[in-house]
Amino acid sequence: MTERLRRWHLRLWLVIGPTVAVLAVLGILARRPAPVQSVPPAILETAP
Amino acid sequence: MSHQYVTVQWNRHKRIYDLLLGAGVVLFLAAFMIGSLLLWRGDAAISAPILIIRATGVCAFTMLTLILAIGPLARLDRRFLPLLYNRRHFGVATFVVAAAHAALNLLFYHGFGSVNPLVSLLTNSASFTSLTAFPFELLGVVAFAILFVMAATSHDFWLRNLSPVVWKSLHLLVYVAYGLLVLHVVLGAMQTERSPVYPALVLGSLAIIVILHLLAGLRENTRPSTSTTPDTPWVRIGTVDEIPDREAKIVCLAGRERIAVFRYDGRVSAVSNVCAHQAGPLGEGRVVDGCITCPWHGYQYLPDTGTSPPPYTETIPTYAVRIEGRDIYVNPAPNPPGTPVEPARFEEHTTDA
Repeated sequence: MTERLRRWHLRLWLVIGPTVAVLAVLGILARRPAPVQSVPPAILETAP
Repeated sequence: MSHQYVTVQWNRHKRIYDLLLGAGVVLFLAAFMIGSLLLWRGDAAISAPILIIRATGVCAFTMLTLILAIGPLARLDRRFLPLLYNRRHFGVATFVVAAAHAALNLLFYHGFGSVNPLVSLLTNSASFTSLTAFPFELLGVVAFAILFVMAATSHDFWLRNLSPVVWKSLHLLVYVAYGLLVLHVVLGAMQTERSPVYPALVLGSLAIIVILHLLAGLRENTRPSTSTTPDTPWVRIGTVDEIPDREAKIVCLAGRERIAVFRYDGRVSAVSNVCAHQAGPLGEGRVVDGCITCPWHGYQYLPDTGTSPPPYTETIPTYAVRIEGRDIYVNPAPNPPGTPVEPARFEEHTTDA
């Protein structure tokens, strides 16, 4: 590679790597929680 | 080499490679779909169209991850160099699988309404300010557009007409495409998955690719190994005994392109380290049949003239070189590409044994 391409290659990965990694981790952490099967309070109140 | 344009420069090796590549893609898709059918049954069963969409998406992402690993692996370890030879075929195959994924998505999720599927896709209600409701499809569309440009310009015709440096710069966009695809997966498919396995696989792939590229980049980002002095143009770059026969020493001079100094058959010649084809590192190649041979795609140059042997027409800059005792001196001012330079000669020494 030419020296200019070599420098751009390194700069690109120094920017893309951390940026994408942080956004990806945030995206995974921000996932909606799994739906929990719960009994509605009204049913509990009327249960014998 | 490219003295004429052929649609695809087939040879026996490439035909076998493409057959294996095609078989690998079919096997991957089949294994993914059969595995999914066995894992998710009953109420959790996945419909056939969604299964195919997922299979093609995962296959394209895996292929792109493998492609991006080849470059740095080849720079870190020469044993991976043969994988570079057909990387363009691998890239075009990835685009074809990604195109199948994109087309199926467009038809299945946007093809049954009264609105044009593309309009439906691009105006899909979503929030740019929310990670969980981000229009992840757009990230896939931009990544797909980059892959399209790369596949469309993967032919030597475009390489020659755009110039190797512009072509290579254009193809660096694949790194941006990969970043967009990781986010496309994380903000799309991963949002409804609860298993930790899938995020681990995606983040693991990203980590491997980033670390490999940074390692290869930092290793090559060395400080100049030697520098010029104002009183003499000649730079001592080492001795002939440091260079294995028919191989090169790469010289890094401040503010200049790298120089590949080759030793072969009792002679020493210096040429640019940058191949005229795709800017491959000539100094990591060898002298084969009297020609410097690029390790990336086998382009060849005569060491004393920097020209490809007929009928090929590629040329690279040459450098004046001389030997004093066993010391090699190079004039770092490059000659115009293809300029003949008399090789420096030395006595083969018993210390080489």
